[in-house]
Amino acid sequence: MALLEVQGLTKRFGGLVAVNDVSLSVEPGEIRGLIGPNGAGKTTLFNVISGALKPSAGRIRFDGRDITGVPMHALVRRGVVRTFQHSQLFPGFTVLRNVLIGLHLHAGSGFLEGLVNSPATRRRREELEDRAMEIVRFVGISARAHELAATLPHGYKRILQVAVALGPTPRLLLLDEPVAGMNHEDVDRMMDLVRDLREKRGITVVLVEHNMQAVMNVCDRITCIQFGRKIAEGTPEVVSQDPTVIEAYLGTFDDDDGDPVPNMDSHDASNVDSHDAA
Amino acid sequence: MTATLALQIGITGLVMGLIYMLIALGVTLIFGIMRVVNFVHGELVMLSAFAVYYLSAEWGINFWLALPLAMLVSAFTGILCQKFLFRPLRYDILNCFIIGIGASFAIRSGSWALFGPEPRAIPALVPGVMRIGGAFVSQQRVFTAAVCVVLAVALFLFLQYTRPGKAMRAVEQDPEAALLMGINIENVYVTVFVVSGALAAVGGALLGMLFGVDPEMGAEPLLKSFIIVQIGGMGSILGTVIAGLFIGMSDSITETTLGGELAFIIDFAILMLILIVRPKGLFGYDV
Amino acid sequence: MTSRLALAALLAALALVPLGISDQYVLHIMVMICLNVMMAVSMWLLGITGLISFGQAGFMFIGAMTTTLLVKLGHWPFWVSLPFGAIAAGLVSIPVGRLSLRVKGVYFFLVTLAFGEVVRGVFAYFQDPFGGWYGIRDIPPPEPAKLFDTLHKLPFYYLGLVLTLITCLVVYRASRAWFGMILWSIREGDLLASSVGVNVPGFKLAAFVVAAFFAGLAGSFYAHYFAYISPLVFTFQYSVSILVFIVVGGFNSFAGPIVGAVVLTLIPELFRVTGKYQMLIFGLILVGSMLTMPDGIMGAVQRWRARRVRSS
Repeated sequence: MALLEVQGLTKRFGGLVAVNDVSLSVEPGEIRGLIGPNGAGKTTLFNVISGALKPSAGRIRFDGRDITGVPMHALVRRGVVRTFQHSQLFPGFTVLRNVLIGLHLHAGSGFLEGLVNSPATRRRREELEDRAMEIVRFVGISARAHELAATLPHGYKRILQVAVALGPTPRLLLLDEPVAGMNHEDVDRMMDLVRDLREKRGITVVLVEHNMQAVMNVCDRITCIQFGRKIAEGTPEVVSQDPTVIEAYLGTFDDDDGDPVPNMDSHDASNVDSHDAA
Repeated sequence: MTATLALQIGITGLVMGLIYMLIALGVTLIFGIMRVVNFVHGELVMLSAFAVYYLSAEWGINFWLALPLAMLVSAFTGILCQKFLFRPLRYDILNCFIIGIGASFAIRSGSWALFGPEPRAIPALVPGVMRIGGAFVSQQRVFTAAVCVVLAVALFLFLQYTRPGKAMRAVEQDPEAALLMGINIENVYVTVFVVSGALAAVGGALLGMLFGVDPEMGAEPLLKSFIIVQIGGMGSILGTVIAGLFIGMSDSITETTLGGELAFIIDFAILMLILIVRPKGLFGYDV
Repeated sequence: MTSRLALAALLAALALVPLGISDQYVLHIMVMICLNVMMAVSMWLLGITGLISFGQAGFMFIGAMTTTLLVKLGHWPFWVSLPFGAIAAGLVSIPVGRLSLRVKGVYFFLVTLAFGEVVRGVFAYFQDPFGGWYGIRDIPPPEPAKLFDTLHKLPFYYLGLVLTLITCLVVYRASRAWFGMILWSIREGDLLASSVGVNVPGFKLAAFVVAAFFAGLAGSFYAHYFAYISPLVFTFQYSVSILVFIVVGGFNSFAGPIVGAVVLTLIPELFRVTGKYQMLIFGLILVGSMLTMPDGIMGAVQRWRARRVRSS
């Protein structure tokens, strides 16, 4: 049975239809890519699935249960966690504390926990800090665990974002452009991390990404969206050969070197803003 | 309720609504363009009322000369706030709100020290009473309403057709694009404070003629302005006009039926209801 | 360890020094400091989330009015009615918070501001039972009457000190515990916080209610200390004063609101300015400190310390 099932999802903003009757299903343990030209509605789709926006029509099921319209913070408890396109972190917190927030909630800390500074409180805090450290180690930034998030280089910030999302122990992780603005090396690290998420943690991943090489390398299946509609779906090989997909990208990218899917083979397209990494 | 009473309530509400609107327009203008809630606005109203009072009632200068001078005083004070309070805080919305409160308190208590507590009044410009339908209305109120309408229309024309007005609208819609187009944003901010200060000055003069002049007189119009601007949607001129008239009307009805002290509570209830339905007000922005 | 010793010494001083003070005026100032610290510290907890309530005086008024009516009309003993003032303020804050938290930033300021004014308006409008603009006088002091004699402030000081310490302890622990960590995370980034499962509106509401609760408690104590309450006391100006305490003391540390409240209660007394002119001083201090000390006194102290460490 599919882990995530989206049926006939539509989201309108006034007269604009950002997501139009999209259906897709993601199997447990799958890594799914979501591609499409800019403004195709990918992020809106993410926002609706993750509960940040309410859909205008359609249903979303997670693990067999209807989650349509469940608010974001409640969805996290059921195992659906997302990241954001722009580096969203707690900039004034250390790396470890960034991870602790989600961890605590997952561990069921109540309003009143820790009000009394008892040995039990301290033990629990240490236990949670150990678990946070374990996550930080897993994503490979333990050397900087005690630095402020604001001071990290760009690539580390993006990786920390994933670590923050691992706090609540997700079963389905929605990554919104995880490698945007990264240099080549960081992209590889991130993609290794995404594979590790599945292999070592059994997390199902859906990712929106513009870096075609990354998407093609890491994803099992790819869904392509244009003008809010699904136009193709299948393995990377199938999708990259699909004439509607090629046309969709040709229609938006002004590329004159005759490359059928311009972005797919070029590294530099995603490297444009990697200068601000440091 | 007789038709005459209804007419009386309606006219009172219209006049008060127009004054509130005039004062609230200054608040909404600054908010729309600079994203700053100018807490000092009420003190501009008060200071210019004092300026008009001293110039015209004490020193015998013609009202029509005193008013522009008061507008200068008010605009100048506004520019001082912009330069020395809001700009150093880089127009951060929350900090500007807080520092504005500080400045407003300082100006208000300073005025107590300077002007003392005795009540004063600016003599009415057009004394006498006239009859509209079955209702009696003081001509001063008719004059007040006319001034407010003329100024609101003038503001609209200014924003729509003059160069500085267009620059203001450009900055409101997209500050970065306006900057790229070669608009000097700081200059626009100064213009905004001049216009807003001038509107406050006229509001102060009109209020001073109807209700007298004292150091606290800016507080109530400011609170009303906030309610109006929030109902209408911060930064929306149209929303301010509609909400101003609406609040004036509702106050007038409340005052006649339940007593004046409840007017503010009713305003608040209306504001709450509107915010429940539309958290950004009728025509508001995201903040 | 030194900080623990310093704290112990401070507490001992707070407990023992007043025994040697016979000047009732000085004791009165110390009671006022207690009240202001309670108000500042409780609002600081809400301030952690980035919100500022301009209606704290309103909640204080509700607490004061509740205990007054319970004692005067219901003939309840003070010790029972005291917590009810706080509870009443907390209960009222739930619907008020739910409504006003729907709006953000400056809009929230304005809604809470209006709320405080409405509380005053309602209590001023209804002569019966709220006393109207004249307020209510002759509110009985706490029992036993022999101890709490309005001419002798010392017992009131100790009562105020205990209430203040309770407030500080609860707020301090809450700010350091899990609850406080969540509040800080909301200030750092509320979208991210909700994406990892933080119920942002819920936590903001909780902080709002806690702040209102302690404001109500302070109000309860106020009523029985002064034996008189009126709409002319619990004004918007007072709510702003609380904000000034925090801004001047510094938002970023727990000591900030306490330092601010102590310093700014003392300054007007030292200069013997009262009433309207007190707001002149407050206004100028607020403007001056925002322009020159953006992190307040505590921020300036921390920077000074850091510089000293570096240069030594």
